Amino acid sequence: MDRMDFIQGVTRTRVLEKKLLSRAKIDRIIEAKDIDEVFKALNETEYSHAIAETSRGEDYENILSYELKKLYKTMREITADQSIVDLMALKYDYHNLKVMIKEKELNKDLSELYSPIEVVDFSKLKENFLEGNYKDMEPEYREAIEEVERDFEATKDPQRIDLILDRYYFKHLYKMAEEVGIELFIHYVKDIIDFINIRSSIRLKRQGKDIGFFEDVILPNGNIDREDILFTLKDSVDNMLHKFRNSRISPGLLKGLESYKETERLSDFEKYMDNYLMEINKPSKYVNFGPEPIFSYILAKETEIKVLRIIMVSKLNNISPDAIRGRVRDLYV
Amino acid sequence: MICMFKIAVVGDKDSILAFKALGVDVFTVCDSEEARRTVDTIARNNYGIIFITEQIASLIPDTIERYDNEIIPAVILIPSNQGTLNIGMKRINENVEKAVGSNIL
Repeated sequence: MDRMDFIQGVTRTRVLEKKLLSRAKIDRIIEAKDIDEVFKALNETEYSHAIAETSRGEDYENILSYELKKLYKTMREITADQSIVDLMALKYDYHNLKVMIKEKELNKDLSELYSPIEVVDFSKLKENFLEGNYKDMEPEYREAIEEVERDFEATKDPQRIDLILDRYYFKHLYKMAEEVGIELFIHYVKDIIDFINIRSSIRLKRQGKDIGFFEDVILPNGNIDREDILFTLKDSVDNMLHKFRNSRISPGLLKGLESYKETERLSDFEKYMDNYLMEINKPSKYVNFGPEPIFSYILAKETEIKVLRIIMVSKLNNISPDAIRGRVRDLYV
Repeated sequence: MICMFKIAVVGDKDSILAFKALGVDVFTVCDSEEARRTVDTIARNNYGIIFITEQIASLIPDTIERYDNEIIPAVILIPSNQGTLNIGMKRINENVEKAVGSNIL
């Protein structure tokens, strides 16, 4: 990959970065009286176009999905190498795979659940899937679909559809990051895998699942050894804190685990996970030659959309500004 | 043939979405017009029990009353995630009073 190929893309990304919502703006939105005021505040921003087409507060999802679609369309236009955008878009493909398989098993129309963002041409993939024409599919998808179908045939357990596809997703994502070969992306993927493995450990501990189940759920390719994570299923949160004090993701992980210990709420853990992942992307702001700013901008914008979703849902349910502030994520700018 | 009735829940999205996990059919509504139309449509479509959040029910008292005199569907008020308005409990008290002659609760 030639870093010089990204000069124009980075320049255009810099302009887009300027339009990201600032901390002060988000704070103002959090203080809004109700959802209508949130809309009014957003009217002076990039979101005004989507807001003009939405009349009711309850339809906030339309605004956010419009922006998300626009984000991927723009980024695909400005990047010299689609694989950078593919790294971030891959999750939507696997989401669509889940919907597609469940649609077939349930014999129900779930078309409103599909995401319009894709890496491969999804309508073609679906056509191949429904016609049983697996040999024309991308090998990663084919392998995943075949295993899910085999497993579902045997177990009839719909939870396993998600489990298996998630495992294939992270395997695929890691492979893509390695192919691109940029250090930030590989770190990013490895760190997410660590966080998710530890989150799974906490969740399964709460559900009282055994280690056999955990072995099925645990994702490969993280920084932390598989064995080390497997054994945490029996550990207390304190022990986990101690064990992972020197791991790569410690700065975020320790905060996450500590707040989990206090509140027993995994949503806090996830917040610190998001904050940490944003933190490792921040140096991209100072990269002028290379793909990092494009990747980081997509993450930044997705985080912004997530923050706005948190605020809007909270406004519709009359959550106090203080409680909202405790839930929103760190921003890129 | 055994007649199987379905269960529906009507209300704002964040209060009722979790019912989906129980196999209950979920109908999200935002305003009174939509609520009225939804309740009337599902009442005609083989639903035996309709749970409806108090917040939405308070917008359409006439519609709720209309189903008081029908055996099917049973319209039952539940609190939403905003807490209770006490209309649901009041209705139970009234019904008990009607059935037993005095308020024994």
